[in-house]
Amino acid sequence: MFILKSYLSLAKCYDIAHRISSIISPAIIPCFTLGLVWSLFIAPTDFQQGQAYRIIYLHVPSAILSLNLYFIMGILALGYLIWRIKIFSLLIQCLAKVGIVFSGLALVTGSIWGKPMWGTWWIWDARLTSTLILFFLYLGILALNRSITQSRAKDSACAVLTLIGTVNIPIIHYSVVWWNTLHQGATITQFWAPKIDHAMLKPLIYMLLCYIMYVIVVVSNLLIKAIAERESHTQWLKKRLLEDVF
Amino acid sequence: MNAVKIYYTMLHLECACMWRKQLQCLQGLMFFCLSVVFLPFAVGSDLNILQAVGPGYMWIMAIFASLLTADSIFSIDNQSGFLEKTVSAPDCLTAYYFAKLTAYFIFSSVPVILLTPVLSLLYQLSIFTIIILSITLTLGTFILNLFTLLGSILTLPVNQRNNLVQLLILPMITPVLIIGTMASYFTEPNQLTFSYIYLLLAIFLVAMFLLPIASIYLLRCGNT
Repeated sequence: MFILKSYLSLAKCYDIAHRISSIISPAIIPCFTLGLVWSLFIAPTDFQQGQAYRIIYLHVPSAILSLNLYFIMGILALGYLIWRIKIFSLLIQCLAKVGIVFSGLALVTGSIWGKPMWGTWWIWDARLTSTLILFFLYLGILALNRSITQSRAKDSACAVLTLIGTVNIPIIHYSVVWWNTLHQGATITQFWAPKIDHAMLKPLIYMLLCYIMYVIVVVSNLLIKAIAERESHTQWLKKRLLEDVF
Repeated sequence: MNAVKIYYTMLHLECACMWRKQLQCLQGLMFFCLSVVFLPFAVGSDLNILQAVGPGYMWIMAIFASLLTADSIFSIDNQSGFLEKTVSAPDCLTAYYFAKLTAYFIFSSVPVILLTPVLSLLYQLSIFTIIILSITLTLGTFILNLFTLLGSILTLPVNQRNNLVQLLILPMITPVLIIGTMASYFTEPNQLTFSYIYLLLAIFLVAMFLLPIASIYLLRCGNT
């Protein structure tokens, strides 16, 4: 625990985020290009949905991540409320920014996919609706984060809101499922007998990994900015910035 | 003084304060009445449509009416310094929170619940629907008030007056709205109706356990 603690200081995290960002950033574009070529050209055509199904390679990873990032945020919020570790609350606000983008992307690509498949842009179906509510939950966290200026009050308010949201998400999801269901059932999560063919599944998992890589890079860049804003009055940051310049 | 005694004193104080601000309390009620009366002008006076839309619409408007005065719950106490004193006084805060909750429920939600059966007559809802609507609204607005208090505590440090509470609270109470309205769509006694009421009761118990903890925690160490 003691060793771990030294890694959780803002100065240390600033360095780690810098290193992660500088290592992974150059790999992002080649990896995404490979993934897009694989998923858009090499992967086999679906016999029912034709070429249009290929949007799942953008839609499914963003939908998976938009939900899972919220749970990660919930765990971080719990950690912040118990141990008062500042970096956790900064991570929450950075993850929320990425999460809202992914839930928005999942909604947009979903409706683009829905137009040729179901014939409409929007259906009041369980998954769509719960993603929309998730989008508003993210929006709430970001709005609260933006409108409070005092940093300590901001951190605890956002952490409590995130935690309550995390407890609430399963309840929201099941109530919405009960309310209405039309969406096709889960295909990947049925781990032992996936309904999707392996030739289609492999690029999907590859794209998911690309997305995770993207999240790591973007979050570490946002974290650098957030730490710099929070610690703008401190000596170590001035020293670090001078080192970067010279 | 023991906690219960503090609670009653605080409740007395809160009710007196609320009674002085009658107009503010009436604001939600008037909003509810007007919006219920205005629905037929928008969708037409066809009773089939009104009976189909009515219960759900009344639910939504009850929620909005209860959120209307949300951001003033704690802000006056915060400005006058009363909140700070309460936080620093020994074991006063829990009693204070529950007194606020009770007073807010009595003055913002109970009038709406009491008026619901009367206004339901405008849509000619059946007696059974009216009874179920009143029961679910009582439970639902209480859960909503728990959330509203949390939202108003969360937005205490926000400087300018805004409508942030609605944005924070409305997505959170989707399950309450869904289950509450599902229960009130049956026109005659039904096994399912009661299962929805039990579900609402379950959410009520969970919320009653978690939200006061979160709110009191935030009041104690977060915001002021």
